[in-house]
Amino acid sequence: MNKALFGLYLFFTVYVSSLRELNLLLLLFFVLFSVLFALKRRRLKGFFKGFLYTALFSLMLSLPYSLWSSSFDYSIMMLLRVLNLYMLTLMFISTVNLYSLLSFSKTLSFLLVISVSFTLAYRRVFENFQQALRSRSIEKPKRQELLNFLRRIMGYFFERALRDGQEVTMAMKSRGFDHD
Amino acid sequence: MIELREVYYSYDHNITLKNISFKVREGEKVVLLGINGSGKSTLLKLLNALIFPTEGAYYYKGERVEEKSFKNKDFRRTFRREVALLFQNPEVMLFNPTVYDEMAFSLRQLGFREEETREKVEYWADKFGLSPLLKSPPFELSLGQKQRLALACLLVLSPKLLLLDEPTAHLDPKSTGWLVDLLWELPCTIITSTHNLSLAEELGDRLLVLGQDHTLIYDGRIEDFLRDEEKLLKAGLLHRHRYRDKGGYHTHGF
Amino acid sequence: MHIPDGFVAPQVYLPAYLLAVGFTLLSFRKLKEAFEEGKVPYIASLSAFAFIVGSVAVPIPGGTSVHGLGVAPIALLFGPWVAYACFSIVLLLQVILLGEGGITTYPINLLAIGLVGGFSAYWFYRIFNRMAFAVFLSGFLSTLLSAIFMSILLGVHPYLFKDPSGKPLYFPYPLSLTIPAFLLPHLLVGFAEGILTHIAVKHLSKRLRHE
Repeated sequence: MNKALFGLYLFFTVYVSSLRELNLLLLLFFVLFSVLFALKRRRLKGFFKGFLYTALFSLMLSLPYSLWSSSFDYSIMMLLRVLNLYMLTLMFISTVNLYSLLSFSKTLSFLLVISVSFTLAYRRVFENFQQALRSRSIEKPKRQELLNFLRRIMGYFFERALRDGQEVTMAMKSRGFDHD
Repeated sequence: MIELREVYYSYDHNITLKNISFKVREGEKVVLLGINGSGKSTLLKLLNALIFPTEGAYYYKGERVEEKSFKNKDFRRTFRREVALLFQNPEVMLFNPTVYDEMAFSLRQLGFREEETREKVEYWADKFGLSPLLKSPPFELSLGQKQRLALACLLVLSPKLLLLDEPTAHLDPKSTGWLVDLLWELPCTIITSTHNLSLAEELGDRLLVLGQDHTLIYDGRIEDFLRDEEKLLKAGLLHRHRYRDKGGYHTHGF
Repeated sequence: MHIPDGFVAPQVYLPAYLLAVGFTLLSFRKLKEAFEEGKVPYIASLSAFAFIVGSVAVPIPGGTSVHGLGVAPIALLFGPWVAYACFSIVLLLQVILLGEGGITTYPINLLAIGLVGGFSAYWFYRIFNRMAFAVFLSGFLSTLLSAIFMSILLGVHPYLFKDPSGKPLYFPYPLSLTIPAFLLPHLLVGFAEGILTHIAVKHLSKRLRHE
């Protein structure tokens, strides 16, 4: 099921990203928009923010060209295409569990899962480092102080990455995963 | 000294603090009790103005603390100098090349002359048993030493309000006793968080309890709370089991 | 540089996928030689490390702070293949966790950063080996090269893909605009990358030799 959806998603992505007819793009826009609303789920929380952000970003890139060549069709085409792709992707990730897509390879899904969990953990600690710097700084930190901070961040996460890599390797061994 | 009025805090649609109101007077020693995940760290970060209430207001010495108040240099300077937070993981506070530089960090920012800085650093290093380590890099210290160093870095500034997030977590029993004595010696207002019920009594005389629902479920004398089994259960600070108790339930604190 | 999905033509991103995925498979094979056992946990933890290195603000002269790419430090510490393998994950994580980049731009970013950035950092370092600023330069120049590669991939779009009236169908700006538009901001990014690389080689590589 997931794989079929993934195939469908890839097909439509390639299809939409090669579309140029405005009518067709507009039609698709309304179809996707209504389907998204019909699907309305918990995971669509950030929908409007992302939607607006994507639209603005697309305009930022395309408008200068339209203003210069005074052909606004171009900006409209790009806007519709970009938003259609955005909605398509959102629809896909809100229905499909990304990790299950990799279920064909134990190694790959394991790799993705532990990468995500390491990264989330590191990010939390990194945030604490930044807050601690802010908390301890009475004045705006000077360049040298920021460089010391940077060195420490890199040192800390480097050591931690090596340690975590080693620990998980040993844990895997003790559970009998000898190979990947 | 500080006051919170109906403070809510949420992050990514998750509420971590719910309708929190309390006042703390100058010189009080307050213990903040709650299980892991009840929002203790969040509350302390909020009191340190690293994050700001989503709703409600926080006042420090009568002045409202908001994101925009930190654009005012004088306010920022006073606040950062007077309010200090010891992070739960002391490691994140240490980023200078040597223990000495670490302790001198804020003093140098304040423009103290090097002799004065040295004097203060040496005084606190001695008090904290860090003198032989002044030239070593902080990250080579043991976790207990890091904890002491992080606290020393805050105390060199003689803060007015000291916020301590689980300060005994990395200390052995002997150092814990030493820390408890030190806290009672300090003249400043202190708020200490812990999930350790048996330590609560030693760390302060007033108790704030955060419940599992992120609200403030108790504010008052410690002894009264410890006798109130129902409240203790509500805070998730007791566990019940039947083991070794012939049929009846049996309740425990940590 | 983040380009939204829709600006890149399938005729560009599909071959780019083929190339990028091919290199990913190759890099994983090469890794078996680097870490005898348990390469998976190491790639995951080093990717998390690279993710952080790429998201920390680097103070550069003049009082501002910018982000580096984070690929050159990994390439010099662990070799370009490890860096490439890590970035095939880091860029994926940026899509999943930060919503940065999209499905059609992923292979282009990966080729620009992981392949051009990582490998050129490694080679620049070998070329400048005896010079004082070799490490910094390899971070700096590899970033510029990576930006040039990206700007060429985008800048060829208006020549290749236009309708009969001459209106562009994808990315609209020609090479004469994209190259300077990418190079200028990447002078700063490159500076940050140079500093990151310097720290990595001067302070972190010691630790590796101990083992």
